[in-house]
Amino acid sequence: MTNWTPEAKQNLDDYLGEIKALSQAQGDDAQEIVDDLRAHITTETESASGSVVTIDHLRRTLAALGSPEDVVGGNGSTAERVARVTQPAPQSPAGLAGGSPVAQGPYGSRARTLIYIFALGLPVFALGFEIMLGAMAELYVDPIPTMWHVAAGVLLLLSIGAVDYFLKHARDGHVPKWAGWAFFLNAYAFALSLVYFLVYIPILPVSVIALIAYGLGLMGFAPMACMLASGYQMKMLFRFLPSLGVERKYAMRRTILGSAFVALLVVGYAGPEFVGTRVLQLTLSEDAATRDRGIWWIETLHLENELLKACYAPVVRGIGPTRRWDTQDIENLNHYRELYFRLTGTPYNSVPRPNIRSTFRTRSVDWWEEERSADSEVGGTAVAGRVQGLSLNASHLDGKIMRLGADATSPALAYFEWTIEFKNVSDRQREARAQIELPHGGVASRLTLWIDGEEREAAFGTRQQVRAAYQEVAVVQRRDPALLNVVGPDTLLLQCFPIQPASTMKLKMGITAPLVVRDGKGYLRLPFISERNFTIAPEFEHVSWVECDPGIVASAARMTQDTSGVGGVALHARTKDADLQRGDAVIAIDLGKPAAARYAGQLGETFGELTVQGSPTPPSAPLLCLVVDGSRGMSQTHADWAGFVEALPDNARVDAVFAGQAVEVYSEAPVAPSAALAEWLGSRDYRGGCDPLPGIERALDIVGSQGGAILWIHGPLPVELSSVESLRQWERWHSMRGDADTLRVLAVEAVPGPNRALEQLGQSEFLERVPVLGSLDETLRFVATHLTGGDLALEYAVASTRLVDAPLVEGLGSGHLVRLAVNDAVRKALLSHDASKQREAAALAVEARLVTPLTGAVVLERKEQYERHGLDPTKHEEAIPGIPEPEEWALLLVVLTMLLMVAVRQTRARMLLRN
Amino acid sequence: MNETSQTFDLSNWVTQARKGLLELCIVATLAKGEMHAYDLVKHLAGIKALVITEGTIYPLLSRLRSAGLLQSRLEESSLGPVRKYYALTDTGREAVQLMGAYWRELVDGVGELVESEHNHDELDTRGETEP
Repeated sequence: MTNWTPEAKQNLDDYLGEIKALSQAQGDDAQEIVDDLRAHITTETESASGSVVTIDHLRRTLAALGSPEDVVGGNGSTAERVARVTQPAPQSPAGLAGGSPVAQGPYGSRARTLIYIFALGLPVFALGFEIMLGAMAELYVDPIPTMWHVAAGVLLLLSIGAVDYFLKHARDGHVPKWAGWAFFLNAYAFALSLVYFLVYIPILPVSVIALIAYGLGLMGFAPMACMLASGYQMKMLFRFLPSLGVERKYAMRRTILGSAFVALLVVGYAGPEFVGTRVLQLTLSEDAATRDRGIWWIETLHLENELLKACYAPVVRGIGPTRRWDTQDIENLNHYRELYFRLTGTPYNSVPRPNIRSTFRTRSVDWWEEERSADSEVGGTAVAGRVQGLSLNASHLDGKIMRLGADATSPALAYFEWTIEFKNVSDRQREARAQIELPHGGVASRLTLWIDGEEREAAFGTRQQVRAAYQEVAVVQRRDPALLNVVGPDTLLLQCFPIQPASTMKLKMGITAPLVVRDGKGYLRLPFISERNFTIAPEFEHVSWVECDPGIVASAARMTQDTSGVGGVALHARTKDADLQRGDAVIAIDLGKPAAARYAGQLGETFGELTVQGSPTPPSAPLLCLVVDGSRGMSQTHADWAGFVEALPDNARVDAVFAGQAVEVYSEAPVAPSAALAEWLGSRDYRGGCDPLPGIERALDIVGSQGGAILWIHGPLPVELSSVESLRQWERWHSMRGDADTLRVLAVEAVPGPNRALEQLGQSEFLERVPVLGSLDETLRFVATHLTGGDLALEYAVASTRLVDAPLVEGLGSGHLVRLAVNDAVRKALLSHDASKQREAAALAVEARLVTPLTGAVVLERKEQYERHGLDPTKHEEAIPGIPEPEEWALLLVVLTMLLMVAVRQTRARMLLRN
Repeated sequence: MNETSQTFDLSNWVTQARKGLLELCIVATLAKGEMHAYDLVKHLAGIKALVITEGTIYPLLSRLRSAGLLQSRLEESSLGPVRKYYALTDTGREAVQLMGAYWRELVDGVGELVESEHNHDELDTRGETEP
């Protein structure tokens, strides 16, 4: 009894199966032929082998019988037979005993021609055409959204080509040595083209229409052609199997390996996206437990980047052109933006925009973004996400610090002109939006925009007027306007649109600001951008140049001092944007101890007065409650809590609330400052983005009835996590009780960025921002020593401005003093909640050409656009500020000095000649 | 010689010449008597000039049987699989006669032509080489 190995048995079955198929195709009695052959092979093989028939025994028999095509074709493979007669037969390197050639026929020239035309030529042409022209991406969807798709496609085509080479040579009897790779590549090509075919199914009807209507859309058919070709090649490979010298099992393994490789590619590329999308959708659930599960998954799988993408566009990256079909509701953008902050503690627009664009063609994606997301934010009141291709191209800050009086201790004011240029390298019109943080107590007093190379002044009107004008001209007419509005305390929103593709847009803001007085010094922090929708390159530098009136002793740690000018000092610097935000550009001038005095100024028909009150009395009951924002970004500040607690006076009572993921309170009642408090503050866990309002409410409960200050140390709050209405209720109640003098919420911005709670609270008689002039620790120590028991209350409050009917002191100073007084009048009018007072204040602000919470500035392109909205840019032109030129006498002095020098030199020259 | 190889497709000529030859060989062999299929194949495969692989013969056997020229019978074997024997039918025997007559006629006629061509070539060669 002879036993056959399973391999040999399988091989025999395969061989006979092939013959049966071919015989049937020729109309022969296939079963009879197969039976005869089986009997022959059995007899031959068993007689040649021992008790076991192996694959090698079988191969020898099969070599003598010939390939299935050879057997059935009968007269086939003649060339080889003739060759065998005339010359020695080539030996098959694949190990087929006897070197039996593989028959011609099945992988014939007709099949190969079709493969070349449709599975190689068509995709190469379509791919090249698409890369060059982007026709399909332009018209409909982008079939090659990323470089990965192109690479996978090229490998697919190479695989089909390689397998074709293999089959052609195998057919001709020269079986290449890489049979295993042939099966692998073939499986890769088939599996990948199958994936693409499935993905392209939705666009096949469109491709048919495009092909008929425009002669385009061949790309849609390419995966199908590749799939059919590689499927045919697979069939051929298995048909040639007995002659290739590889076992069926081996071929199957290679085929599975190739398919698994494709599966791995698909899962690796689209898997995270797929999982991310499903997880993100969980967070949209109405069920709280499901939402929490989604958030847990995002944190566990670190899907922050997927979340960031969801903040931008209602699309997700897919494995093919249908990526943009997977849409989300536009409303969900805000949900994801909030979620991003809650999880990371960072505003989504403070990090670079994620790459969600095409590799080669971007217009369709941009179009989609414009239509579905960006458009809803153009002309809106939010800065929103970063837009592609828009960047800050230039930034020049020119300033002047002016004394109000002749004496060395007289207060000073500053006026800046900040020229900004935006650059748009995208092929879409863009709107630049930015929040500008002004120096403490500052007011925007000028806005100009360059239109056709000409600098145009803004018109000032009520907020509603200027926004309506901007909306109509920018969004509807798409002409050149710019808009400047107040969005929060010392915070402006700047907008300009449209910045044309491949062009720039330049504008200039004028800013009037008082100096903050602390410990005998006046401080000025330069304005900076706290939120933006454009890119600022890491190497970009803001160029600042600040001149001081003669007699002013000014210094700045990171600015260069230049005393070569006439009279005063000039400070200049090139500052990186991050450094400007951090407060690196702070100018200090020596003032000495402030003395009680009055200063007046005139602007048109309006007079203002600034009064220095001297040292106010300290608060009677120094009670301080800290509210520390528990958002993750705050941990980077590394606050020196021990130093802060040490600086507190011994008689102070203090408490602390940590507004983290949950509100934590240090002590139920205020206690004396101690190291334990510092330790408690230092050991808090800063995680995600936190809502500070519950913490502030808790602090108000602690402090409210006794009077004192709440020191709110905060970072950015880019989304409204809860309503400020509860604080408003508290504010109304204490306002009625007249507690404003004894209760104060002091906001210290530890990490710069937008803060919606501050914006919402706006003008409040209880809320005050503490300017950060230098490091956070210095600011905290200042508050610790000055508010709760030191010599002075917050010293910068000693000087106040007001409007007067007529100048009360002799000698009129700068109109900038009046601007600050008008700004103060607007603030007071808002706090009064009296509509008529607010109207009056708004009219004054328009007259003084100021951007206040009641008024704004807009630059439009044409006169009729202004007229339609009741605006006039030429009105109150006399109030337009500017950087003061050197006084005439100073110029005269310079000229006289030069003339004198020339005269001296000439005299000396004459004397030398005479000698 | 090289020029001849380039212009004349020898393989094509062999293919044409072999058409029908194998069928004649099969029926001629079986004219001597019934034969086991395996032995028949081995016998024909042994004729070198035919340049065939053994597997080629089975489909021909099947076709000839379908055409009524051959008949087959099975016989149990104690050594291996069932043995199949082929033999000529009456039609087959008639066909052998006709095919054999035609073959002889063909060989005589064509042989004469080929022989005279060969002699002519030899004379030409001698004439060129003689002084």
